[in-house]
Amino acid sequence: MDNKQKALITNFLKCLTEKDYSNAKKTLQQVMDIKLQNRIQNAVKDLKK
Amino acid sequence: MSKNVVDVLKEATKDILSEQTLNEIQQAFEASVNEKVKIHVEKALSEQDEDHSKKLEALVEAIDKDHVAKLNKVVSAIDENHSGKLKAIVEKYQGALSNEAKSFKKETINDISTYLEAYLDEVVPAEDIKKAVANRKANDTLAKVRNLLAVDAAIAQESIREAVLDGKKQLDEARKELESAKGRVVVLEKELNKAQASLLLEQKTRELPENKKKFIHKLMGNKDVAFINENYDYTLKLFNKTEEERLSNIRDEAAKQTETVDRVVVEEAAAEKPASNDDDSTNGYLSELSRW
Repeated sequence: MDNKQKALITNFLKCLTEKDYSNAKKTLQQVMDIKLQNRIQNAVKDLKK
Repeated sequence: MSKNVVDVLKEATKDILSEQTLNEIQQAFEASVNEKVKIHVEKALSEQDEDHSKKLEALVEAIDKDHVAKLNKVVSAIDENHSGKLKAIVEKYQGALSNEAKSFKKETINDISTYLEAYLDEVVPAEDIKKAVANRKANDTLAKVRNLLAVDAAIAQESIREAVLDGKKQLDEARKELESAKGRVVVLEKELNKAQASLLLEQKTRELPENKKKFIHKLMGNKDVAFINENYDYTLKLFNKTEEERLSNIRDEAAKQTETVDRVVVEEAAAEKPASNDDDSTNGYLSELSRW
């Protein structure tokens, strides 16, 4: 897990504690996007091998 | 005791006093004794009270002092104990905030990340992603191959290749012809404009004197039609003004020269020159000179 994901999850927790659920959802979606993107990139790398 | 008093009085009085009198004397004696006893008892009690109260006060004071000292010790001991405990609590919570909270936060972030990974594993399996990537790459490769094969197949056939080459040749020729035609059109447009300008200038200056015509042709000979239409009248006025100034200057100079020049000679010259010169511009100032 890179620092960007850590920062996003930290922000997600902060939004949850502040009951800002809209931004919490957005932040979680960003984390999911990054994770999915990493998986796709890894799959592309594996395919190139 | 009471019997003794009655007995004593009986013996002393030898039955002079009646039994009733003896009883009254005994009662009076007992009452008197009782009063005195009572007084003594009260006095003793009051003295005892005072003594006891003094002693009790002293005792209470001593107990108070002792209790105060003990309580002070207890309070200070409790204070020390509580302050030590509070310090320990503060240190513990500071440590908890700084260290344990950090570690808890780190663990929570890792747990959330792990959960999200697991969720992604469940929702979008890695195999599906691999398949999708492979399909995408295969599609791209297939599209490239299709393009390549389509062009090659079209060019590979002899008839189509000749047609393509012929079409390219025709397109190149047509492009060259178009460019040369554009060039010719530009040249022709320039010549046409020049001819139109010359014709317009000729029409406008047809009835003008020769010097004006030369002047106009000199200034506007190489201009286009729009420029001539726009500036012709202004140029003509400019020429007339210049001509008037020139005539005025000549007139002034002639006026100066008349003082030293023989009048007869001037008249002869003036008489000869108008006949030989047709120029309107010279006629103007010569006619003025002839007056002198």
